[in-house]
Amino acid sequence: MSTPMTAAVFGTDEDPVALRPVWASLPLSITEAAAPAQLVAVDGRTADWVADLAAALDSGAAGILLRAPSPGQDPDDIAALAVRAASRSIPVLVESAWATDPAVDAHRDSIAGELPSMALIDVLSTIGAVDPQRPTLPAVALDQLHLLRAIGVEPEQVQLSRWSPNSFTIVASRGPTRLVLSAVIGNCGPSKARVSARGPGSESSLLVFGSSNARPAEAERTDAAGTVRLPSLYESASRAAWRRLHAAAASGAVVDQLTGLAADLRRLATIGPLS
Amino acid sequence: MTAPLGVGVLGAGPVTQAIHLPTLARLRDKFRVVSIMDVDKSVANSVAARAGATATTSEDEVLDDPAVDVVAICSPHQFHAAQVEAACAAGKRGILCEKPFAVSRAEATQIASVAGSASVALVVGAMHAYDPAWLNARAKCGELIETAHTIRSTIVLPFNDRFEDWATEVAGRPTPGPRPDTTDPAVRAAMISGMVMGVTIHDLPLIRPFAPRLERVDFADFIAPFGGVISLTASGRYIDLVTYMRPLWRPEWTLDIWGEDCSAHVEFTPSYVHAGSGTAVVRRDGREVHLGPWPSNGYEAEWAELYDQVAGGAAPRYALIDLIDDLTYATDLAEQAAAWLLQGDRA
Repeated sequence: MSTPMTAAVFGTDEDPVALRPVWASLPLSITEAAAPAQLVAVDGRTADWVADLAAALDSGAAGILLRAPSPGQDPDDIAALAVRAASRSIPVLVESAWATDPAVDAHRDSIAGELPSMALIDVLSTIGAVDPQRPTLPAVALDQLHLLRAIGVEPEQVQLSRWSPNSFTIVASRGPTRLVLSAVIGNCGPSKARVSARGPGSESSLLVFGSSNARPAEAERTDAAGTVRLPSLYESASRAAWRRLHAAAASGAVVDQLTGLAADLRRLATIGPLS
Repeated sequence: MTAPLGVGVLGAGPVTQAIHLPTLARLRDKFRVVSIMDVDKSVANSVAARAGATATTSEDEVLDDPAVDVVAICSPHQFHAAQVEAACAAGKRGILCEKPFAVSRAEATQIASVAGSASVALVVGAMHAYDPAWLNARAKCGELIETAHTIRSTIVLPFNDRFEDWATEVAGRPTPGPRPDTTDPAVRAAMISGMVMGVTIHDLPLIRPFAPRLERVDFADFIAPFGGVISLTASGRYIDLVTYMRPLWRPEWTLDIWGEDCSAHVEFTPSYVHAGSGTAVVRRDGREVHLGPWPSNGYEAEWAELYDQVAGGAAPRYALIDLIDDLTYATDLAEQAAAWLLQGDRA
């Protein structure tokens, strides 16, 4: 039986209305409360999210969910907050468009084990032009780096191949593997990201639709014997994030996703217009 | 009823055996294979026998044969130009030339000039340009010519023999050469150029109308065993070409064209197979229109196009100037990608 913990939005005037359905789907774990709460959400889309996060760490919260952090912040500030969170044993999870999808966590081992033998890892995000939550291209690039990190890939030699108001292509490597990260904003249906890891004898693909609802990611692994479709998980990324946050806070587990976020922001800072 | 046109074939390798003969076998009301030439006599004999045609090792014998109305040029690239000219000079009525139909703009212009003055119908075997899925998608998203901002071709395929062996039984398959040293920048540059002219070229005639002026290659890299990534800018539009060929069985061949208000996604079948057309999805105003598949593919359509031009006097779908521009687009891209890669490897 899990321990119910109080949850609230921290540091902004954001109405928690968007979070209530998520909290309501975890009734034995989370109950909404006024701040200060045990579990708090910090909105990473604001200009002051670093200050909000720092204040949240000082608020006595037992766990923090940093939602959709936007780029443009100083990576050193984030790294310093990671140290502060660790010193106080406060788990800080980062919720981002695709990395938080429960399929990423569930299928990581199936996918990540084959990555060293891959020749090409190709990430393509298509963002609906009419999506009311449409992120900026720099935010998409950061989300892609989060997604790669979540499956165990830290790109090296990151460079911007090209950038426009509608799309970008980033190239990178990881050992002998070529990485291509590209994104397009256009009339392309629901926003989504697809990671395709391709090798001479096998490949994996993960198609993730984002955190707004519980549409399951599509994960496949292909080898000479055929294609295996990995189980679908009808849980929204937001619910998965809050579930993990509750578990970490309740168990006292050390969870540090800020150090990775700082590293991804540093990578992004090296590639000009998308930083 | 008009008698079927007699076909003479120059070059009887896997392309002829796996693509053109099975296609012509489905178009017996329009074509009959009369003569097959290959420099390897045993291959010529084997392939001609299965088609009920005459075998020869002589190009001239094919071109001098009055029963040959149209010529299929399926020889190695470097022979295409001379053979097209020879077929025109021999008074043939039509030519289907495998891509690339020349190796330079000068050569392509010369060929077009000869074909134009001889009034010979010329079709280049760019099957995707005739695929019903592509033609229907293009018809339904015409505004993308003006509004497209990003284009992507993804070609991930097993090696050709996997598909050749399902389309025919190949006689005299060429022996692979020694494995190239892909640590050598010059070899990598040559291979990415070869990738453009051998693989990417399938989709370049589809892409070019949306981005006709090649401005620059923004990035290029070779991927072993055979593939590469090329990013380029053309007519202010951004194009990514991702190609990877490897032993794994699973094919993926897609073309995406994105605009602010419309997008098109086309999925093609692999080369060599006779599995019907590709399929397409056109998105506009939050709605998707799914197109295809049709029962026949671009191989049949390109031969039907040649027939309609020769026997019916139909206007060509793609004018000679289009063929020249397509070829130039490919050769320029191949050159620039190779140069970029050499420059990048030196950096």
